[in-house]
This record gives sequence, structure tokens and C-alpha cells, in this order.
Amino acid sequence: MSHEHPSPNGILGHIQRWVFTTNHKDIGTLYLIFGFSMFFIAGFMSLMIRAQLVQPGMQLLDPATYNVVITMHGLTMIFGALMPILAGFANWQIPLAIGAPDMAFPRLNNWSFWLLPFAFTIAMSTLFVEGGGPNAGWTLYAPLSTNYGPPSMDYLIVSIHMLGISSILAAINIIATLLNCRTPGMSLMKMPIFAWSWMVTAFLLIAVMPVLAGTVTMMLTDRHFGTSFFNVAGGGDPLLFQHLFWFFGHPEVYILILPAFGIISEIVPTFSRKPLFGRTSMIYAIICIAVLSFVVWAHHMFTAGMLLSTMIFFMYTTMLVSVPTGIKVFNWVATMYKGALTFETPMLFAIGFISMFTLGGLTGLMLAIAPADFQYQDTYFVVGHFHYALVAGTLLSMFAGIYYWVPKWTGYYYSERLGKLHFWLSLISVNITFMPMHFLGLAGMPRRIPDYGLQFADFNAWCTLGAFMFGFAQLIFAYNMIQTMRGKGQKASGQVWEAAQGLEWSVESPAPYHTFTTPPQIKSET
Amino acid sequence: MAMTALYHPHIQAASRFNMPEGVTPISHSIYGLHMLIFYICVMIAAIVFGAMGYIFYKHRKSQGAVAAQFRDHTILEIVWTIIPTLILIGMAIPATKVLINMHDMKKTDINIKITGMQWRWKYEYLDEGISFLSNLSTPQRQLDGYEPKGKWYLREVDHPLVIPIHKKVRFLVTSSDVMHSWWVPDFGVKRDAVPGLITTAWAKVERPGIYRGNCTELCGMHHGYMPIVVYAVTDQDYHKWLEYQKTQHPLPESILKDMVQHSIQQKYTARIKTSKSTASISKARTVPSQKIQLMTQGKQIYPQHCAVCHKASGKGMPPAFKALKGSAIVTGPKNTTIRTVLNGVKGSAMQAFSTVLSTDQLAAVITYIRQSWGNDDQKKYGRTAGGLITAHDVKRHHQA
Repeated sequence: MSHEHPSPNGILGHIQRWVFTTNHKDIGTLYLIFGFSMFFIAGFMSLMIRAQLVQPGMQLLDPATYNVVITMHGLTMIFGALMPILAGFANWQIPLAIGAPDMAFPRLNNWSFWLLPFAFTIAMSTLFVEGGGPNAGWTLYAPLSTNYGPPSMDYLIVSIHMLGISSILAAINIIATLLNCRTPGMSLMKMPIFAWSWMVTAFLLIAVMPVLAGTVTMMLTDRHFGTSFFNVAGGGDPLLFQHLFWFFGHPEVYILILPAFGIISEIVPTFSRKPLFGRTSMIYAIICIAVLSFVVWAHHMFTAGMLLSTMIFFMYTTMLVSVPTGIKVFNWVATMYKGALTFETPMLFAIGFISMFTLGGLTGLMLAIAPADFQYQDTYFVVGHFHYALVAGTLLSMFAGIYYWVPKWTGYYYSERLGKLHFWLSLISVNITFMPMHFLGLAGMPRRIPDYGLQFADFNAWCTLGAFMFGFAQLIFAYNMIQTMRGKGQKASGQVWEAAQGLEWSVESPAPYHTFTTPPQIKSET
Repeated sequence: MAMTALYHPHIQAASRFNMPEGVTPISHSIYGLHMLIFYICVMIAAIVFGAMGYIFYKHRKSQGAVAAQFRDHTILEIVWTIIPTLILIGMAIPATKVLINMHDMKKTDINIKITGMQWRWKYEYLDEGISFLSNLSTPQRQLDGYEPKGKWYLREVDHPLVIPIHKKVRFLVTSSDVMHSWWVPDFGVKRDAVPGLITTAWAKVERPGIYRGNCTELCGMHHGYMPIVVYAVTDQDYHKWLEYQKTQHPLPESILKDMVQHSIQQKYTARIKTSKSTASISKARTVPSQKIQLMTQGKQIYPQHCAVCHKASGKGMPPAFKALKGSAIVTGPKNTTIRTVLNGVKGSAMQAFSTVLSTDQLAAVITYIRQSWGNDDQKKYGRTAGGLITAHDVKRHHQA
């Protein structure tokens, strides 16, 4: 990252620069570094979980601590790692992709980021308070999280409020940027697909984060101010919590996957040397998935007790989601068809994403079949399913995006050899980790248990082996990226990739501190 | 045919890679749906991965491929929207039928209310007026790794649910504290236990046997330690069991196992009446002194209800779970101990046991904790320490 502005000297000067920065590239970098730090912390927690489950019996954690670790693993991965990393991509790439000088509200942008470290300091501090950290799972189901929750649940509620504000502000910023700051001549339908995916994601965030904020506030008042939203004894309903949570929770998982679709839709055409197939239908598919995400939430609650007609409705809507999702997969394959493919690391990760996400999507279709869901619900089958979507899906797409854009950000190529090693190790280990979980779930292993019957032993050992391999592979990634940032790689040109299309490749590498102070001309595309 | 295989349905259904086919009409239809959607998924995956494989082989730049520049193909896009939709409709019809059948609660023969509580199940036979608690029976020493783990480690209970085969049994599932979920894979039954709400399911078991499951909704610290065991026996054996159950002399597990075995073999002998172990147990009940009786019963109850927090050593896990050894409440006047056990301690993990255990059981377990770990040492703790607590003592406090 080059800095045309003379930055103040000394350590204080540096701190000042990063704390007060309103530059979208600086803030993007902060998001990415924060997100990946959280990824390593939450990843360490997942290794604790896997070490505990390597064989029957108590290995590492007692049951109470185990529940805290699974809860914090989930929350940290979703709110601390995946969402900030995706926001980092948005900050770096959206202004570059649409020819804007910066985000629409640079100061707001600074605040959206700086809320995060404080929110997570509060959330992480719960690991050290009396009574232990939050232990109700990331879904925080009442009444386990309310009347039966530890005192630390209040810290988490405050933390979630801060995260919510951060997300909503970032989403407003992104929408304002995309609607107002596009370079002249770039109509909405001409907007790059990554920007489109974030436009839809931002609307989802604005729609559902307030619901989560409301829900945790109801938890807070149930816990301390004598209300009974979720308490049967006072006329409330624990199922209300689940409905509210999943009204947020289901769009939330699409918040985590739609930007991944955007990243992949940028990378596949570049390395196929061919325009994205069915661009318009790709955009409509994203919108369609987003709209459907609001009417499928109760499929998380098929076993919780609902009217038959309600179940049938949610089963049908959930099955429908697979149609636009299928369109996306078919279009990526059609984009590669009759292309001239090369397999650099970003492309490898993109292909890995498409294959693995297809598997995760198909198990999702199985889960949509409500009667069968009675057997799958809350078992390791579900754990396998969503880790295929979020680890083998979103996370692989993030690696694809990092390898794709890091030469533009730093001005240097990463080590291709280490990148490919990282890819193959990750792909193999992700399957060793999560594929056996499907078998475990079908054979009857419930999720979130610290110990299990003897018949589940073999597959669990495989899962643990895969998890540690996956963890090791990420160290290679970290090393590769640190070396790239230190300028150890080969110098990159502005174009970076032979066939890359889009405004971000028209500026030099590394991208100057201020870009597009005058709006760029866009090539007229048919 | 293969009787031994029937005796262990888990082994018979032991495809380690797949869902059990189960022993009820619902579980069969679920299995059918599962396999149907699985094959559809395999087909879709084969098409996608096949196409990708072909592309990676044919259209590599290193093989001299030159990129075509087409951008879309409307007919193709319509095709791959319509065909998946048709497949979904084909899938939705049988799924809806099964769903409707699952919710058909008409003409049930037996109604059993299942209450989830931290961390045990309570079974109430609504038509028979009997009820009991079902706890994990794996010894604590196996959990802690001091003893080798048994075959049914974490999947065994002290009092299994007993139901007759070929009868439509309705389960009414609820909870008295947090969410739980009652799941027996072989029945295709999983229902969340929600406080304040009753969810229903039914099962008509086709084959006698022992069927096992687990709680499947995170319900706190010991979520992984509340298994479910169901014995399915013939109607005749079921009624025999009911008789014993009503006389407050629950059958030991060995007899129950015999019953299942017998149900499978379909030849009834008067085995239960003459069984040695029942005889010895009923004898044991009448002979011993009051103290031995209370202590023996207390020693059985303590590991199931108390040792989870207070540990077998009575040392607890301070500060969350207080030690019983040398505790002022346990070594002080017995009324204090009784009151604490009956009503719990508000704002702590100590729950109220007045509705969980019977007065006999309460008397036994309170005697046990006041007599164990040197708590009865009157030189150390004063004259109020130790002593015997009778059901009568407990009853006085119950009414108060």
C-alpha cells in the first residue's frame, strides 16, 4: 500500500494514521487484518473442540467449558471473521470497481470499523468473568440464554448491539456509494457483479440486523427488567425467540454467501478469458435468493412444533431457493465452457468453491425436505452441511479473492507455489474434516455434545485429523501473505492478470492512496 | 429368521454411512424420501462435476484452447430453471404426503407424556397413572476414564421407556426448564421439548427390540448426557410390565432385557415370576435395617441426581457447585438440609427436588449425604450432624 500523504513520524503518528483514517483502502486493510486475526482465534477454538472430540471420554474441556467454546467459536467466526473480511473486500474493491474516489461517507466508514475491536474485546472478556462465557450456542436459544444464562450473556448482548450498529452503518455506506458514486455511464445493470452482490447483501443487513438487535434487547429485559417475552411463566413464548432469531439468522447466512458469489463471478471469467455467462440472470438470481431468504426461516425449526400448513409452506419456499442457486452454479460452469482456462491459485480456489458449495447446496436441499429433516435436525449432518457452505464455501471464496486482489493491493505477487500448496491442503483437509460429519449425523450423533457413544469414534477421529491439517494449511497462507505484504514477491503490473476486466485493473499496482479523483471513462460494453 | 440380528436393531441397521431404516411406518417413509432426494442430489452432482471435468480437460489454455466470446443463451437458461423446478415439484408431493401422515394423531392407543428436564427425561403413562424418571446410567468412573467404557457408553439409562409393539403410541413432549429434544432415530421421531408447549408425534413399532436415542437440543452443561432408551415388547409383556410398575417395584434391567428377548422369540414362559433376580431383590427389600436401606437407596440416587455437580467425592466444583463434604448446610440441623434439597437455592444451580424425587427417595439421599464423607462426625460438627432422615421428616416439610 503506497501512501502519498506524508504520514506523521513515530509510533504515535502511525497509531493516529490508522485510528483516524477515512481512506477506503486503509479501512479495507483494517477490516481484513482484524477479520483474519479473529479467524485464527476462532479457528483455534475449533481445534479445541476437535481435540475434545478426538475419541470418547473427556480429553481437554469439561462439559461447561465445552459449551462456552462452541458458542464463542460460532459467534466469532460469523461476526468477527467472515463478516469483517467480506466488509474488507467491499471497502477495497467497491470504490475501485465503480470508479469512485472513496466511499460515500468516509468518516462513518471509520466508525463502522472501529466499533468492531471494542465489541470483540467485550465479547472475548466474557471468557474470563465469573460464571464463564455465554454457553447457549451461537443461536442463543431462550430460556437457556435468558433465565438460565450466565451473567456474561449481558456482555454479549452489548457486544451484539455494537456489531449491529457497525454492520448497519457499513451497509448504508455501501448502498449510498453504489447508488451515488458510480462513474458516469455506468448504469446499474453495468455495475460489476461483485458490487451487485454487495448491494443486495447491504439491503439484507439493513433489514435483519435491527431484528437481531430487538431480539437481544428483549433477552436483556427478560433477564433484568421483569418482562416475559420468552418466558412461559409470564405468558411469553420460547418459540418467539426462535422465530425472531431465524428471521435474522437465515438472511444472515445469505449475507455470508452472496458476496462470495460476487467474488467468484469476478474470478471465473478472468481465468476463463471469457465474459461471465448470463450476467443479467446472475444478478436476478442474487436478488431472488435475497428475497426468498425472508420467507424460509422456520425451516430451522421443523421439529420445534408448528402447524402442519406452516411446515408445508416453509418446506416449499426452502426448496425453491435451490432454483436460483442452481442457476448460479450452472452459469459459472457455462462461463468456463469453451474458455481458455489457466489454473492460478485464485482460479483453483474458485473452482474449489464451486464444487464444495455445490455439495453444501445439495445437502441443503436434502434438509429442506421437512419429513427427512426430522432425522437430520440438530445432528452432525447439519454441522457438515453448513460447514460445507461456510468453510468450503465462503472461506474458500475469500482465499480466492485475497489471492486475486492482493497483487493490486500490495503491488507484489504472492508465492504461487505456496498458494497452490495452501489450496490443495485446504481442499483435501476440508473434506476429511466435514464429509464424515454427514455420516455421523445420519448414524445418530447429535450436535453440540462434549462426549459421545463408542460407535461414533472412528469418524470423529478423522474429523479431528482433517481439522488440524486445515489449521496447519492456514499457517502457510498467513506466511505467504506476510511475505507478500513485505514486498518479497515478484512485482505486479497494473493489469496483474492477463484477462482481468474492470476499472480496478486500470490503476497501477499497488493502487495509489487516492484513485479516481476524476471519474474514469468506461469502455462501452455490449 | 435371524433372531440375533433382530435383537440388536442397531447392528442390523448398522450402515455406518447412512440413516437407519427404522421400525415404524414413518421411519420407513422418511428413509424412502431420504434415499430419493439423495439419488437426485447424486445425479445433479454428477452432471455438474462431469461438465466441470470435461471443461478442465478440453478447454485449457495450455492445450491451445482459444476462448469463445458468447455471453448468454436464453433457451439454456430457461431450461435449467424449469427442469429443477419440475424435479422439486416431484419431490414435494411425496414429502407433503409423509408430513401429513406424521401429523395424523387420530386413534392413538397409548399416550405417553415426555418431559425433558436438566438432565433427565420424565415419562408419564397418561392412561395408566404411572410415571418415572429416566437417567443416564453409565457409571461416573467410565465418564472420567477410570474404567473402560462399556458397549453402550452414554447410551444407557436406569429406567427405559417400555412400549408395546403394533400399537399406535402417541408421545406428548414438553419441558420443565429449557429446550430439549426427544429423538429416537429408529422411530423417525424427533420433537423439541419446549416449556409451555406440547409437541406431539406417534410411533407404531413393528419389531420388538431396544432402541436408543439422545437429547438433540443444547440444554446446558449435561446436554450430551441425557440418552433415551426404549424397550419395545409384545402387548402381553407390556401389560406384565405395567403390573410390576404399578406395585412400585420397578423391574431390574436384566429382567426387562429378558422380556425383549422373549418378545422377539414369541414364546412366553413364566420366566418373570420365577426369575432369581426379582426374588432376591424383593427379599432384600424386606430384610435390612432402616439405615442400611436408606443408605443403599441413597447411594443409588446420589450418582444420578447429585454427583453431576457435587461429584462422587462430595467435593463439588467450587465456586459454582458447592462441596457437600463438611458443608454447614449438610452437617447442621437436618431440617435445614431437607429444606435446601426440597426447595433448591434460588439464583444458583441448585434446583428444587421436591417434585423430582419421591419422599422415600428424598429421605434416602439426604440420609446418604449426611452420613457420607465424614459428615456424620459429631465431634467435629456438633450433635446435629448425621442421623437418619425418614420419609415422615420429608413429608412434614413438603406440606409446610
